[in-house]
Amino acid sequence: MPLFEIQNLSFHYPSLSKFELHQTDLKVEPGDLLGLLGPNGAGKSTLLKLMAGLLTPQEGRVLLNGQPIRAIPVRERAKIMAYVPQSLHFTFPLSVWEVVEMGRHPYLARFQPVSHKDRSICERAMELCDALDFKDRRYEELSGGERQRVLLASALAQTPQVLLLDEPTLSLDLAHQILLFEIIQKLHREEGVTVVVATHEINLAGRYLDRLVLMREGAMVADGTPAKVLTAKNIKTIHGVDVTPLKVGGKVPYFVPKGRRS
Amino acid sequence: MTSDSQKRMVLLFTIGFFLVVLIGCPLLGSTNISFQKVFQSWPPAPDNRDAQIFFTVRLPRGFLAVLTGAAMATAGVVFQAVLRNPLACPFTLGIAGGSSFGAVAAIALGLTAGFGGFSMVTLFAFLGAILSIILVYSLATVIRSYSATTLLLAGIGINYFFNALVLLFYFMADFTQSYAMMHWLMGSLDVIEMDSVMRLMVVVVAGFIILFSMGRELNLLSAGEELAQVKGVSTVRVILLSVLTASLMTSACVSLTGPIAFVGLIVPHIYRLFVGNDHRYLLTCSALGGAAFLMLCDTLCRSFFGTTELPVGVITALIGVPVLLGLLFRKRTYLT
Repeated sequence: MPLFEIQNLSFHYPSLSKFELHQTDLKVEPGDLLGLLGPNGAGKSTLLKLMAGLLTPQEGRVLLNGQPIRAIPVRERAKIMAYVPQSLHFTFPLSVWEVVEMGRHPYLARFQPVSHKDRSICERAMELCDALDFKDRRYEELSGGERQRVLLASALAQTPQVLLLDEPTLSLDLAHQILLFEIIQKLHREEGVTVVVATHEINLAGRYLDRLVLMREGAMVADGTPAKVLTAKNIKTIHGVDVTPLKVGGKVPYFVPKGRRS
Repeated sequence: MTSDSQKRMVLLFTIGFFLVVLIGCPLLGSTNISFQKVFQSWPPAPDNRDAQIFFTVRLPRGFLAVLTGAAMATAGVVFQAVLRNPLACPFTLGIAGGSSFGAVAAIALGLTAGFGGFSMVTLFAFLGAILSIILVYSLATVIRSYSATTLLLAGIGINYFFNALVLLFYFMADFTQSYAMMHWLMGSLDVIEMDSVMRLMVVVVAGFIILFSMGRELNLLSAGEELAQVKGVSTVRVILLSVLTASLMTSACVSLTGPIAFVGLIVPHIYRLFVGNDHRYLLTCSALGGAAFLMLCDTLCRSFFGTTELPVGVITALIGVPVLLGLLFRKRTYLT
C-alpha cells in the first residue's frame, strides 16, 4: 500500500480565483526520497500542506496509509507524519531544547511529564540533525541554517514514517544547503524515513534525491528518477529558462542557466 | 536560556513568597494585631478581637485578592499565548468593558436587591462580561475564523463599544450614582463574605487545573496554529476551551472586584523573564506570583494611608509598571 495516495486533488484558496492545483494524482511509496520541483507558485507548498492535512481540498482526496488524512485524529497523524514549515517565528522565545521537545507532544498524555526515553529520542534527533551543540541556546538567536536543523530535529522527534519538508534550503548559503541535503539523505538511508521535499535547488535535488516530480502552474509535468526527469527540455518547460547540462561525474548532469535573452 | 534548575528555583522562591504574603499580610493593617494572639486558641474565642479581625475581615479580603491575582495572571498568560500577542491581557476580549457596562447599568437602574448572596451590581457585571464573550464568539463564528487577529479585533471593538455605553450612563447619572460608578470602575477588594470567596475559589481552582492541563498545547499554539496542528494539537478545540475558561475565571473575579488593571499584563511578563515561555512553569509561577502581588498591593492600599483606602488598581500599576520596565532594561534580551 502506498504511504500517500493523492487522488484527483483540486484546490484553490478562497480569496483567489486562480486555480492552485488541479486534478493531481500522486503516489508516495514507503522508502521514497521524493523532491517536488517547480517555480514559485507552481503549487509545491500547497500540495505539501494538503498532504499534511492543513488544508481541505475542494475535490479529490489525500489518503495516508489508506485512510483519508482529515479523518485521522491530529494526534495520530502527528505520529505518522511530520511537517517542517519554511520558517517559524515564536512570539515568545523558546530554547532549542524546548522546540525539539515539542515533537514528543503526540505521545504524551495531559499531565504526563517527559520521560527519559522521550529525552533520548530528542537527543538522538538533534544528533542526527547536527543540532546538539546549540541545545541550550534560544531558537531566535540561531542562524537560518541552524534553525532549519532544529525544526528538522523537532520533526524527527515525532519518530514519523514520513517527513514533509517545505523548501528547507530557502535562504541558506551553499554550505548549509549541502549540509541539509546530506542530513536528509542520511535520515532516509539510516533511519528509513520516507521524505517528500519541496525545493528550488535543481542540482542538489538531482544529486541527493531518488525521485523527482516536476510541477508547473498547479499541474505535474514529469515524474521519475532524476536521470530521466532532469533534462534541459523539462527545465525549460517548468522554469522558462534555457539551461546547459554539464556532465561532472555521476549519473545526473548539472544544469547551468543561460540568460533569458542571450 | 532558562535551564530546568533555574525554573525550579524560581518556582520554589515564588511558592515561598506566596506563603509569606498569605500569612503575613492579614496581620498588617490600620489596626495592629499579633500573630500569637490570633492563634491563641482554636476555635478562636468570641472576645478575641485580633482573631475576629483576622478571620472575618482580613482573611476573606486577602483570599479575594489571592484568587483575583491568580486568575488575572493565569488568564493573561493564556490570552497572550493564544492570541500570540505580548500586549494581550485578560481584558483584551472585552471583559472589562462588558462587566463595567453591567455594573454601571445596575447602579443607574438603582437595583439594590441581591440574589443568591450576590449583589445586583455583581450579578449584572458578570452578565455583562458573559455578554461580551458571547458577542466576540458570535462574531468569530459568523465569519468562521477563530484566528488571533479575528478574536483580537472583535474583542477590542466590543470593549470600546461598551466603554462608550459606560460613559453614557456616567454622563446621565446623578451625583451619588456617579460616585458609586467611579468607585466600581476603579476596582477594589472591599469587605466581602467568606461565602462568595469560597464560590469564587471553586471557579478559579477548576479553571487553573483545566488551563494547566493544556500547558504543552499552549506552548505549541504560541508558535502558530499550523505548527501546533502538525504536532498533534486540535487547535480549534484548544483555543475555544482555553479562551472560554480564562474568560469565565476573569469574569467571575471582575464581577466581585471591578476591573483591576495591569496584574494580568505585568505578572506574566515578569515571569517570562525568569522562567522562559514553557507554559507549565509560566502558568504556575504567574498564578502564585499574581496572587501574592495583588495581596501585597491591597495591603499597601488599606494600611498606609490612614483611614482612607487607595484604589488597588492605582497601586498595582504604580508598582507593577516600574518593576516590569526595570527588568526589561536590565535583561535587555527580551522580545528580540
